[in-house]
Amino acid sequence: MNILVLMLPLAITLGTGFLIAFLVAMNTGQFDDLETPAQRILDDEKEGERKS
Amino acid sequence: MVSGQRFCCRACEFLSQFEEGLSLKSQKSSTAWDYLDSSPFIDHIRTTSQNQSLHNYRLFLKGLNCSSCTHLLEKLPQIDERILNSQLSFLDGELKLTVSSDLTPSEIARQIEHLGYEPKFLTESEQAKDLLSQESKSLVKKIAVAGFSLGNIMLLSIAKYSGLEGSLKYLFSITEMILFLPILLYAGIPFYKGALLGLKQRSIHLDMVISFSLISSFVFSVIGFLVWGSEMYLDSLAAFTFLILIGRWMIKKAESHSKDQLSDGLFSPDQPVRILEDQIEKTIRLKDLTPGQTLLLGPDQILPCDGQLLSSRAYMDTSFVSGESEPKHYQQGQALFAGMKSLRKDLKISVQVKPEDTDLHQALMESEQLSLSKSRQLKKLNQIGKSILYAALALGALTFPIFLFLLQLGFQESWSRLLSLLVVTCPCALAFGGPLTYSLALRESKKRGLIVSSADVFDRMSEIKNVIFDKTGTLTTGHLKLIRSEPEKLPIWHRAVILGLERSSFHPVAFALREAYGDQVKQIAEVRDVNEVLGEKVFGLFDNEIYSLRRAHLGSGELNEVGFFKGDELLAKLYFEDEIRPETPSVLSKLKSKYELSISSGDKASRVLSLGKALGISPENLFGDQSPRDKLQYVKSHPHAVMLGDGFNDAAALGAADVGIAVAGPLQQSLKNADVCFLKSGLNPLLDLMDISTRLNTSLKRNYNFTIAYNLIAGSLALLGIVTPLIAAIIMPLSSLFVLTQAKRGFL
Repeated sequence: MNILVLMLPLAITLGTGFLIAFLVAMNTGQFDDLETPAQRILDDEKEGERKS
Repeated sequence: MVSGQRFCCRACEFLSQFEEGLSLKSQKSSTAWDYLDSSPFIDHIRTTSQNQSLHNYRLFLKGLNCSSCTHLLEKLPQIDERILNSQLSFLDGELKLTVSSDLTPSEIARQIEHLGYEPKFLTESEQAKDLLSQESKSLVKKIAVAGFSLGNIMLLSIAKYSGLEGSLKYLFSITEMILFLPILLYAGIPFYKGALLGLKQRSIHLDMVISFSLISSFVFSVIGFLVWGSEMYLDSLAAFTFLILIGRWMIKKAESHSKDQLSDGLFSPDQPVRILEDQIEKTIRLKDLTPGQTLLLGPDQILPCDGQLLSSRAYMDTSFVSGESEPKHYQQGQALFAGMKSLRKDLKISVQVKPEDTDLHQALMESEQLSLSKSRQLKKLNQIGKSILYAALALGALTFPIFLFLLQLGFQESWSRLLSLLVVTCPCALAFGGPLTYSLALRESKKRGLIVSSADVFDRMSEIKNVIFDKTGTLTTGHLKLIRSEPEKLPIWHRAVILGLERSSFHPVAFALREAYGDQVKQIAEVRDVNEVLGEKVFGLFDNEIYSLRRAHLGSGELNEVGFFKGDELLAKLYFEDEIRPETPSVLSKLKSKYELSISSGDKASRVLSLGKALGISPENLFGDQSPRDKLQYVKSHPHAVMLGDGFNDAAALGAADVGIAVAGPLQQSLKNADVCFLKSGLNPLLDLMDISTRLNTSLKRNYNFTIAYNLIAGSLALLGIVTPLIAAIIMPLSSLFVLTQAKRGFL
């Protein structure tokens, strides 16, 4: 049972990690536009040709 | 490129050409966009980054088809080296451009137009939409935090439920408490805000109940655990918050969607208009237009302000203002109203009323902002909603001691029942459903060309028994045509005097005369002291003689007859014809079964009788030769009546009727006197109005019944302990969602 003392903080840390990852993604606008990036990938132009 | 190759859209074609190495720069140069380059337009659409040489623009594009559009638009930097970055958001249709300072907005617009899209630069105020999504974003973050806490708390409580004892149980409970803190301190913020707002407005609010449940349950749970060592129920409390937040978010989504569709106005304050200043044409923003300026109105443009015609003649489509489908002729000096559309060459118009002060604008704003407060039914619904909340509170306060002391259920069980009751009772059908239904109904009305002055029109429509029609302009097109005159050809000065008399009249006869004589008369006679007795005559002074146009009964009675008099001497007889609207018979036959129909008209009794018979209205309900006063009397003697008529000539009768509908007539007067104005010509909008009110009332009734039934059933189940706080947290948002979709479904 003593393993729980280790598992408990680990589980919570893991959860916190995912939560933070989600919040960061949210704040950097990764959920703002779900359609256009999917279309961008369809363009067959060679990598490197693209500016910016 | 293979010749004759076909493309689904222009973007695909351009892309194909682009691969062949073709330049995309537009060759044609139009000046339509030049105004964008000058102040004040450019200041509102351009944002400059810290580096002064880079400018940012945001555009809304119409005409996006497929992924090729994305590829094409994001390749702009390769086409034009002055464009440094281009990013499209396909679903929003929004393009973000970063360009170097030597590329002007007009050039961007031309280029994008050349690519086959319709560009519109977004101003700062139009970017405010982002604020709304900010709000929903912050809600999503709170849901994420609540979900995190909930997941971990559940993990811990599973161990506890499966029989954990001793120091580990204590450790787990303490951890649960700590894990609950993010919910209490962060995820619960929207509820606290709502509760504070309710307190400030001194009215009861759903958020108060939720905040109270959340805080008090946490406090009791923790105290119970620390003092008596009793079980905690933080797991259900976390689930409860999580579920309610999700419900909130879904409701917000549903609401914002309907808000989006509500706010598209006729004119945008930033739209460009052309004026003439010291003989030089200039482009300014609509909101900078001031009275006294000379506005230039191109063909097919809608007049945004009220003004006076400076050009010698005008041919205007007034369907938006008066509901008349036929365009009309106007003369120099006549008043023109916002909403009219010019059909020919450039017009010069002296601005008299600023766009935002015109009655048209006010009316549109009002119908947008929804004067919901006026509806008695809605007030009643709100009242009932509040009573439900109060009743739940009172019931809770009453039953809690009974559970605790009389039934000896123990504190935890009693508290959980109280909580379930408070959470499960939801007046949402009345709190959100009612206003939503009304705003949907008003939106639908606007879409179908009806301006409804206040929401209670829909309430009154449900009690209607009589439908009273005016004849001219209502059952008939009201567009008179001069078909013959006696003598056949009037002397030119007679025609000039006639036009002088009718110079500022809105009577159908006046428009017919202008149409007939406007081209022939070069100089309109200066008739002084013109007076109009509505529906009777118009008279004025010319060369010290009184000239008048009077309704006359000279011939057969089949046509409208007007006599032209000098003093009492008849100079000419004018005959006008008026035709039945094509849809009149079908509309009337649909109404006949449900309502008592009648006609009250100023027209000759014989004509009203023959028309009424042709339309199948019983003869005792046909009244001709009615003065405005007679019409008023008639409407007053028939309660629960809809009166349809001209907004100007029938003003009094429209005002007296339960629901007055202006089918035609200048919008200004109509809005003052009538409850509803038809922007489309004809009678079909009447059927639309009836349809909308019926749907509104069924939808309201259904939601009302649902709310009462839901609250009674769920409330008693909560008191019996069958519905736990957790189940309550699930079904409460579900019931709101049901009500919202129900309201929306009624107006699809």
